[in-house]
Amino acid sequence: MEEVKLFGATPSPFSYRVIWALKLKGIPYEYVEEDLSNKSALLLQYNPVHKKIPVLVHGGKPIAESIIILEYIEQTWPQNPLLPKEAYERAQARFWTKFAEDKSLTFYAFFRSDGEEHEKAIKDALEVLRILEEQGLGEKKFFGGDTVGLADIAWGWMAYWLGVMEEVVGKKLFEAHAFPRLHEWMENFKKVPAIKENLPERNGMLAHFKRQREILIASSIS
Amino acid sequence: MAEAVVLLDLSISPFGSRVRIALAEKGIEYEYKEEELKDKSILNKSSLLLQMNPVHKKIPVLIHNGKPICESLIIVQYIDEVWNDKSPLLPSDPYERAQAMFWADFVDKKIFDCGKKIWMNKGEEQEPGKKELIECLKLLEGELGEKPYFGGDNLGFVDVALLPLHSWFYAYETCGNFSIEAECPKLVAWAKRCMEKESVPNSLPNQNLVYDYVLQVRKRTGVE
Repeated sequence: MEEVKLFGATPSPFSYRVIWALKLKGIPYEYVEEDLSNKSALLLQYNPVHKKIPVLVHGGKPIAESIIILEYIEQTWPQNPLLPKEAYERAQARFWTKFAEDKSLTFYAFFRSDGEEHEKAIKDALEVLRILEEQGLGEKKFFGGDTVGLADIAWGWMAYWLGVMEEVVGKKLFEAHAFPRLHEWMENFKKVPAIKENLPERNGMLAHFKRQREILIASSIS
Repeated sequence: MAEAVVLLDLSISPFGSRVRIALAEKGIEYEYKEEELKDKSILNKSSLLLQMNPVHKKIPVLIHNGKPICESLIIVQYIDEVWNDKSPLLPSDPYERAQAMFWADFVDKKIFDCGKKIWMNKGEEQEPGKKELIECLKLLEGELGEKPYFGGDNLGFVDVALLPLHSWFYAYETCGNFSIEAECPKLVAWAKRCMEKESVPNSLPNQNLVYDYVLQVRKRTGVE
């Protein structure tokens, strides 16, 4: 098998999406930690358009953008599939995956803002959670059905990163009693061995996010 | 076996146009339902649209045998997977496919928004949008290279993703008082080449209607 390399940065949830997919499929890879304040020449060479992590390099050929990387992994290593076989169900899985991409800015707004903008972000984020609870997840254990799928990986950050964000912001967004299905999904997701064994260390994450929020709030005032 | 295929759409929508091109490339017969635009610019959402796309309440929506599929590139991928007997839009090689998805995603992330920065502003405020649009189009020209189409010898996923936005160039250029062809001649040549394809001309937005829409929004939001 050709060499697989992942350029990522802890604790980016986008990095972790790729780690989870590789681990779920049992694909060996070499991990390269990038310092985002000092991006390597190699990263810039592999992703000249966006200059971001994660980038997967397979046999020397780079693939960028986390969801596109996941689709590539799914097509190249079909074991433990992340997408259903049936076309309509695949379209649904891709819909909820894209929903995660589209709404990441809403949660980012919750994290980086204060005042009126923050209040709006809370309202928008709660609406997203409502849609996920009632229409996205429904009665299923995972978005992927009985096993973890593409949409679960795309939303996976919420099971672990959201709590840290809430602690840093000092505001609780997600109440288990308000979103019982999502709450159960989060617990189930974190129990999956490939996920459980591949989560960033919480204290480090907390310190990182605290620093990030301070910088973001300060820059929005000036 | 007759399969019911219905498309909820808006003729000026570049996103709906992507689906129309894909359906035409595959020779799929379908029922077209145009949503209503009030005052040339406000979508009057039908109850069918709200029922079929409750999450986003947007077109296009493809309804196949009663089941809705939303989000233009997801619809195009669905069409490619279901009607896989002719005119493949995505490459079968995983790496080539990832590249096609990357550039279609790039179009989605950048082009429409850059265009909006131009027509939702005026004067000096348009400059950042114009600069960024040209930069992005030049990157796409680089990706096209010497190929006749992004898909190689035939229309592919990226061609389908980008081509409808060409119909919005007239609005961008007129509002921004600049020429895209002067900066990106290769891309404009590519668009002309695509228009010679049978599936394309009737599937594209009418650039004058697009311009009317843009003018109405500018008026309504106080830009004009």
